[in-house]
Amino acid sequence: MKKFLLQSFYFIILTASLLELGSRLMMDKTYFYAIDPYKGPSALTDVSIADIYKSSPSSVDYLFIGSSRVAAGINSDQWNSIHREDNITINAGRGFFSGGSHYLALSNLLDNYPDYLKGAKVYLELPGGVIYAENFDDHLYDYYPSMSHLVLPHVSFSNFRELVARQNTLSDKANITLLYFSSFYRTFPFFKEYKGRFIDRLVKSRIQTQPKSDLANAGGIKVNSSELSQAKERALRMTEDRIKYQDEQEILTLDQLNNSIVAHLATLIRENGGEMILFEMPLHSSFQKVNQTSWARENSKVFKSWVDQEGIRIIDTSEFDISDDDFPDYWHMSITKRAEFTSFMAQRDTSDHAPSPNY
Amino acid sequence: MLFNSFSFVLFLPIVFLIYWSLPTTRARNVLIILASYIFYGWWDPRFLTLIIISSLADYGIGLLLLNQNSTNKRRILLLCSLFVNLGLLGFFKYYNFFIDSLVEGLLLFDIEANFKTLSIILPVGISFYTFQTLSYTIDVYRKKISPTRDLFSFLAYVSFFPQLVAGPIERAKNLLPQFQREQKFSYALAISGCKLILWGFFKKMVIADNLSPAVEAVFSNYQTLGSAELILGVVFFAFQIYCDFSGYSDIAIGIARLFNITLSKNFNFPYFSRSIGEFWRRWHISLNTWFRDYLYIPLGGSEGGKPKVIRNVFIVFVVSGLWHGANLTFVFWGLLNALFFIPSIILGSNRKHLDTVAENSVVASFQEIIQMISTFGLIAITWIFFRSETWSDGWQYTSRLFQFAPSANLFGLLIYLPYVGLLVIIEWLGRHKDCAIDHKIDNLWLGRIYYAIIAIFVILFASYDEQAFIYFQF
Repeated sequence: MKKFLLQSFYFIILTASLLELGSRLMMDKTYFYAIDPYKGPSALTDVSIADIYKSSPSSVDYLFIGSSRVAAGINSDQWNSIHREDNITINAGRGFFSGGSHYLALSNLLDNYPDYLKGAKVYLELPGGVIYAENFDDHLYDYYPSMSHLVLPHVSFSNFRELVARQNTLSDKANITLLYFSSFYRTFPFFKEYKGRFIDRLVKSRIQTQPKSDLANAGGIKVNSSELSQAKERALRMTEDRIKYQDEQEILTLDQLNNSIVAHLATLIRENGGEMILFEMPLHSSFQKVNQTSWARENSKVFKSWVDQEGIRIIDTSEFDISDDDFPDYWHMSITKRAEFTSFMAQRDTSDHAPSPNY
Repeated sequence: MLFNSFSFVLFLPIVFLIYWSLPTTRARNVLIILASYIFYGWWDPRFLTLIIISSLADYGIGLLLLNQNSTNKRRILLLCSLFVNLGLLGFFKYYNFFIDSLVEGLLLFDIEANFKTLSIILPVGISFYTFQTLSYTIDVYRKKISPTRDLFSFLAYVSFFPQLVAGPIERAKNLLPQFQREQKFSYALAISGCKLILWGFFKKMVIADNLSPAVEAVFSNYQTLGSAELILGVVFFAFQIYCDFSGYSDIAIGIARLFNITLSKNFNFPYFSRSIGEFWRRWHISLNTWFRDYLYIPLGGSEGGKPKVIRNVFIVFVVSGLWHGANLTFVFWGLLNALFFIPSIILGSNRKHLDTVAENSVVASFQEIIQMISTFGLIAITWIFFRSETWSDGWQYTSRLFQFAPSANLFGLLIYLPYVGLLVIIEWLGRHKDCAIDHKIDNLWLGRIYYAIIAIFVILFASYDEQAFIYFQF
């Protein structure tokens, strides 16, 4: 009996070790760390395995921070060609990436590469003046439900202890601990999902003629045409939810903004030799509604005075010519429009006479 | 409780550890009974009433038969057992079927009957444990075994959780004494059990569950699909049902071995059969031997000339079809099997192929390959009716298959073919063994790594939908 239990134990340990080893060698590289937007794949088309194995650059000239809208709307290669070919431009736009996660990612990069931002321009997406306005102390470790894998590659061990301490229940603490330490645990759900999707897509690609969507395959954007209608429905639902949510919120104050995530990002960038510039991504009309409520307008005014107080520059993108048809899934602009928007941003950025936006 | 559920992953080690820490056989049997009732009651605690009634009735009738010498009274006692067991089975499984069939039959004579059907839940595995307890009473009646006075070992025999809901259907002669002897842990048996469990999960979770959506897609849309797709659909179903059911049996036999209990082999690589007769000696062996001993032989078996044998074969297959389900599709499935079996009786070749195919060689001969493919083809045709919702669906499916309609979505199904290919290769290489993956590896660590890789394959490629085993519905 003892021998059997011992053999069973060895077998379980061996199986678990092989799974963990295989996951660390393959899944972490090809999936887990590949989702790190700060790696900066050279093109916004499909990320190649070679790109994934690239290490993060030790310094950048231009860094774009924001949501998947930024991933869809800025072409870093084109940005380089407009400026200088040997510049390093990273588009760290990523869907479901919280402001806190961006802060953690950036500060961990700076720990490893202190000159990472020296002389760099950091463009931070600013949709509606509310994003990243959460309190820094309370919300640094926030992540979207079921999206903990996005923040984990950017959590140092000391951050991790803080992250565990902030979990409410024992099962949440155990879950985040397993996610942090076990590659197999954190990557297995994605393996399962992608195994199913692989077969599904293979079948669809062969037995159905899928129109190719005009969306960049970057930043976690779903480019499968069959998923577009779902994305549109989700966009409309989220718009309604956000407007309802606004009714319950107080107007921002300058004090709140002084200790917000955006303020800490500004400080972090400034202290490390970079310049933070804010810009707004063009939006589909359904999303514009969220920024046109009286609550949003009031917030914008407060935000504008805070930005002025901090001396932060804002690039006005309101004159960019775009219509709802340029958003195939309502969320993200098309590849065609991305080229125009990248040029527009570069032109406005270098213009000495950039008009002050309506904040 | 499903074998492929998280609750069972916790349940089994707990029962295993408590079982071997108990000092006496009786205490262990009590634990097996409790564990089995928890396992069975997990679906619906009300089901426990039926199994307890069935068990107590047969235990009591067994004891009454012990002291009864009068043939008539013994016969009455046997009839009581048949009435209780088949009555429960008939009511829960066949009541609505017979009422519906009666109403439809009367309509043929323009008689409109208004019998109401009942909303009855079919208790999981009722056909299995009913046949198991019945075999006990019949064997006691025939004086082939002595009835037991030990209630606990009898209850453990009826309810033993690994094989309770989908077999193998065990005879008291084989299983009951194992609950009465002093149990000692057998390392070799437990290790062989673990290999069977692993292989069973591979078949169930990797092959059967992954083929399930393809099968569902074909059988739900057969009206619009071409012949090649329909062929693939039924081939996949043939492998799905085989892996599902034999996978369950392997897991059951493997788990039993952890408790030093040896259950009968239920499948013996049936798709490598060279004739229908050989197939039925290798498929669901415990049920077929049950029918052989308690129906075919009492009907006269192979005695009394070929017409009588053919009649007996038809009866056995039709009853077997009805055992599987209260639906005309199963009856037709049984009839088709009988029809395919009859030529071998007429030609006197039904006892051919008692050995394993390509016994002393790695590759089968051309003749054997043709024989295996044609046997599989015939069996696959019967599976169409087994899988179809209605008799008419099965008929239309088969007709469309032979119309050679063009196939537009073939590629979508071909990507499931590697699952079948993988299974066939592994089973072919291991067809002489108790467990297909049990290969002798002298180096201890290499052996561990080999089984660990199989386990990893199961973990990575399993379908995690906790799909119930197909045979639970019977």
